[in-house]
Amino acid sequence: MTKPACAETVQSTRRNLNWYWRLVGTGLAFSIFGLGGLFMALTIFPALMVILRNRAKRRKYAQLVICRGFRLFVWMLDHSGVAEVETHHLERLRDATGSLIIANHPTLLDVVMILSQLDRCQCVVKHELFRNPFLFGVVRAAGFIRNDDNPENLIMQARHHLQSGANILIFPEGTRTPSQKKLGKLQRGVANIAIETQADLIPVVVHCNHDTLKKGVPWYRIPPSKIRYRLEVDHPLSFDDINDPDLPRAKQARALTRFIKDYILDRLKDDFAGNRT
Amino acid sequence: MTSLETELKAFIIDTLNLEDVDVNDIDSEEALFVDGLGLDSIDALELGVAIQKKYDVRIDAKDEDVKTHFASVHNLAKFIQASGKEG
Repeated sequence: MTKPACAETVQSTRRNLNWYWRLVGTGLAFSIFGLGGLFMALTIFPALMVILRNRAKRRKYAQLVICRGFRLFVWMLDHSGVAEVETHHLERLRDATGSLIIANHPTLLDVVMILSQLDRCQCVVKHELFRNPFLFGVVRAAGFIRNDDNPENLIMQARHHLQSGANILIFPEGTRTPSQKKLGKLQRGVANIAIETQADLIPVVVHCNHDTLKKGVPWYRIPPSKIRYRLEVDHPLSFDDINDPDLPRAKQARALTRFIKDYILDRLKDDFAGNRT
Repeated sequence: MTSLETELKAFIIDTLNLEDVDVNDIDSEEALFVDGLGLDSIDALELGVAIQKKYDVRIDAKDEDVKTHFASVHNLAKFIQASGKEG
């Protein structure tokens, strides 16, 4: 009787220490992320403006800088015990061109985890970031696409980037998955871009072991153990295979959206929604 | 209510899969977007493409008048009629 109780105490003390350690690590991570973005906005990106006059080229380098910055950040998260990431079949992303990368969006860091793996990637981001004092420099320099622009404009930009061979990361939910849910309601933006551009879709399924880093949850409410991400890149889905051209255009968008939803939900079926501790 | 307006309402409901909405639920003068029927920008895109195809009208997204044309079913009917290529 005494032994297990004792072991339990030791473990809980250890857990506490680890908890405080991760709390400090998380706070530091949030600060470093913001300051890092601001630093880049004030140094590297203006320098790129001066050195590279060609906008497409400049964006490409900005995306590379973001990738490396995120990679350093992810390394730090790992070594401070806050979060780690494991990837499967990344080569499918690295070999892809002109495709839409679609991912579910369980936490705040998904975009960091994914972009840290890709030297060059376009991304549709929420418009608030263009006014965020820490991040506006980053999203502008990389030429990321705003999600609030009028749809014709958004599709035009997407087409331009896809045709130039870039891949575009987009979260079909449009925002983070609500707490305690596997997947939020899907917006029809992805389907509409796909229909207009005939681009193939590459699903990236983001698994996360904790229900954490959700909208409206303060940073200091950290999960009981290190956050573990698992990114699984699936085989590209050919647009012609998943779209039914005989349907009216608006119905195609709905059918495609439903297909994406069912696809991701099926891939998440073994994850627990919510209390994934 | 003109027959074109009724036809447009049915077309909107069908195009956008508004399953719980009936033709009689849409007021011709009511706003289609945000308040009123509560359609969003993607609905606008899909509806715009569908209407261009069905009524063979040309909609220029950059044209400021587009907002007025799509403000209500009444305006939309007027716009299509003015374009003179109904059906």
